[in-house]
Amino acid sequence: MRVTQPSDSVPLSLRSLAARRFGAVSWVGFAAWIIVIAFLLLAVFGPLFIATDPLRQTPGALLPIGSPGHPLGTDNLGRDELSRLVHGARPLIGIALLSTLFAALIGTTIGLIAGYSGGWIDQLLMRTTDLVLAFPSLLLIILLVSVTGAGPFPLVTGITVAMAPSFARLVRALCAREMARDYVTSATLAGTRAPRIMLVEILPNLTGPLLVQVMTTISVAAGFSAGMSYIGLGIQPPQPDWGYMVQAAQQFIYSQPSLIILPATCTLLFVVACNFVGDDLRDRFDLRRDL
Amino acid sequence: MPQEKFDPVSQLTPPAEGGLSRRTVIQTAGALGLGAGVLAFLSACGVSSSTGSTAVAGAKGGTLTLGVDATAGVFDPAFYSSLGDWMVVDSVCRGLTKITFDSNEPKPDLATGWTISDDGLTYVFSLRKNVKMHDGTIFSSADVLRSYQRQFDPKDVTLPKGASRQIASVGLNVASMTATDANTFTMVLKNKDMRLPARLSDVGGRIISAAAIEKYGADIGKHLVGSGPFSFVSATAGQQAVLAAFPGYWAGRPKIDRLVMQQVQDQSTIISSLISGDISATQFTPFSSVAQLKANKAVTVYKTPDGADAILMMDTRKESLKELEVRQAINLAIDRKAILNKAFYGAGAVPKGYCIPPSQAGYDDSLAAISVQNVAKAKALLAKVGAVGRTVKLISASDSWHVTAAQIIAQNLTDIGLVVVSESVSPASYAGRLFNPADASHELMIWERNSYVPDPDNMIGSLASPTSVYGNFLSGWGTTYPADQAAFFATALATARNTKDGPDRTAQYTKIQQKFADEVMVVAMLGNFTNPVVSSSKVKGINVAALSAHRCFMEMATVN
Repeated sequence: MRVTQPSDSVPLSLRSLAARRFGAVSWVGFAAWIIVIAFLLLAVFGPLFIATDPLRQTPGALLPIGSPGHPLGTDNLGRDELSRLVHGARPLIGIALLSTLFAALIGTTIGLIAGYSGGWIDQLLMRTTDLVLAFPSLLLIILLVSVTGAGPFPLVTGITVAMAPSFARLVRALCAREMARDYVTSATLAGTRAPRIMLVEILPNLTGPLLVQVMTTISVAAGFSAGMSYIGLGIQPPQPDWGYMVQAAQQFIYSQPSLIILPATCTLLFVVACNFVGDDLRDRFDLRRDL
Repeated sequence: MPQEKFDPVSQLTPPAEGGLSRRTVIQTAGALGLGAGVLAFLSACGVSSSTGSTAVAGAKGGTLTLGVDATAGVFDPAFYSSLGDWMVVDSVCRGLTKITFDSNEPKPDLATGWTISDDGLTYVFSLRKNVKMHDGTIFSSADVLRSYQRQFDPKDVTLPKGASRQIASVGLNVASMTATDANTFTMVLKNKDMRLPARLSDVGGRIISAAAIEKYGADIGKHLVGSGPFSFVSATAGQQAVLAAFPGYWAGRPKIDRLVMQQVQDQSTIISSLISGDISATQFTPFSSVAQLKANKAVTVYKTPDGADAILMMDTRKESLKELEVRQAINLAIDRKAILNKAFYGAGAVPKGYCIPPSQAGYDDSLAAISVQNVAKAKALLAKVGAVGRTVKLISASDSWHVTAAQIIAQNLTDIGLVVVSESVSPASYAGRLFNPADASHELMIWERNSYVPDPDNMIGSLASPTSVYGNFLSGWGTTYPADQAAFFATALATARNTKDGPDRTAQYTKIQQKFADEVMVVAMLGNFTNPVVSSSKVKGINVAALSAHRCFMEMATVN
């Protein structure tokens, strides 16, 4: 008699496929991964599939959702809301990713040097990062952007400066822990040069916590990016950006709330999903057990 | 958005009992993001975190709270920082003359009258006696002399850095000033100027206590002392300025106890604050909400004249705008109907005159052709000077109609072949950027001109004067335009200034405006509009026409 396995009778869902490949996935984590990936795909490829120019103004201002040729309606200048929403993903996600990348590079470098060197170099680097951490992040970013001028590049710079110390502290702590491990001692006794020990021996062992920090930082950076555009110090009009779109649509909250709700929801979804992806990564790398 | 830094290192150790788990922290951070979104949403809904000051309904006296664009906490007739700050100046200080906006004729204020010599050069002002200043001193000609010295002398040591000296152009025509006696002040002009009493009614012509000027020097703007109906109490930059009714005001104590200028920049907050009564009145009502407010019985929407110009200033010193053809092309590219409909929501008019708005003497709709869109001609002009593909910088304030108009203009200029780099600037710092020709973005600037003095000389006179703030600081045309030809404007403006209102005067201003547009073109008209004044229905007695022009005469106002 042929025994049918239950798993054979139940169609495999995307989640169970993911679980087979990547291990147990919670519903929340799974949804978060899907959302983050979807937004990344939207930012990269979305504009290729939207023929409407997000900057092109038309006489049809404030058209409602479902209008012919404008599925999500138009804003007060008659610009297609769907096109602006899709194109608006790029600046926010791009700034979040770039600033996180730079913050990770700078912070990791500082942390590795501090953790590996110890002594006065460690003290100097860590007190410097403490100095930056002493400023509230948002205040620091506003200060930097105010000095350098509004726009994507000053924004990336500001967020990078504000977020790099977190990476530095994390990597320094982890590096100091790794320094006591045998493989580092062995490498040192074998005459391996310090940069190689840091980059080839130690850094790969910090990947897990770093990835968690990266995801968390992406979400925070996305929030900062949206917030700065909201207050007029980020992406400048007429370029579409979710943060600015929320700000610009405030006056239509009563007449056309979708102009606020859509970009605000996209921003929130991306930020929260990044957080939960970080959470999932933390569970996966089991950082507490690792210590 | 989350404002706390997240540090995984601190989360690597097991949580203490009752402490926070990493999951909790992440979820909290997510919630913070959510909270920020909710805050943004609440803000969008007009829920203000500010407690504000409320007009006390049914109480005698009470507080009148005016919603203003910005306050930098500096109130100096010689230093422009924001419209709201100058409304404070208007309330604390008064001038020799005033215009109440029911006509453009100046009336006596701190002067009881004046005589003019036969040659029209000597003005003798008789000053009001026993007028108390807020510092206890008695108003005299010394106060007038000292206040005007600050306006007319750019090297005056009591001027703050970046002083705008609103009536500096009056000073260029002053031969001498004399405090003849305590109650007589004499001003001798180099050239005849019939509009002098009107020009002295400007905010820049407000009289400060000479004793206070000596005491505070360049910091007088933080301790303004005048003789107006309200005295300065306190101010917090970015928030509010508080004034108190001055019991010793020569025309009688105002009916309200306090006058508060509350900075409210968020448009939806303005609407909800008006409806809830947190703001008693404002002229900064979003154009998009006027129709909605008219249907609300809690507020009164006033009908006010189109007395303001929406303009695009061009800096002729900048390489990108040095050719007249480029500036003309920019003027021809602008879609004014789109600006009227989308930035002003129809609350205004497409300009048919040029710089003189419809509500003023001298308005002439035969100048309508200057402000007509002609894309083909604009493209041809650009091609003629090889400017196709040229990059121009466009700045605007980030509030009100500016930012919408800027986006329309950006598209218009793109359509004719220019590359536009736009920047929107916080309203609090926008004026500073505008009055700084060295600013990197000082090329195309969206601005508005309000009739502080409702006279054509005030509008076109300052724009078409090569030596004015507009001629020098903003557009620079006074330095780039041939000096011998610039003399035409000085002469023609002086002639028009000294002509009585009527067809002859209008014709003179028409000629000036036409030449200014044809040969200089540093001002592209975007529209004529009114600043929509809306008040709580409990507020009475405000000078609506003046408030619409950002002048503040609240001594007769009540909030009961």
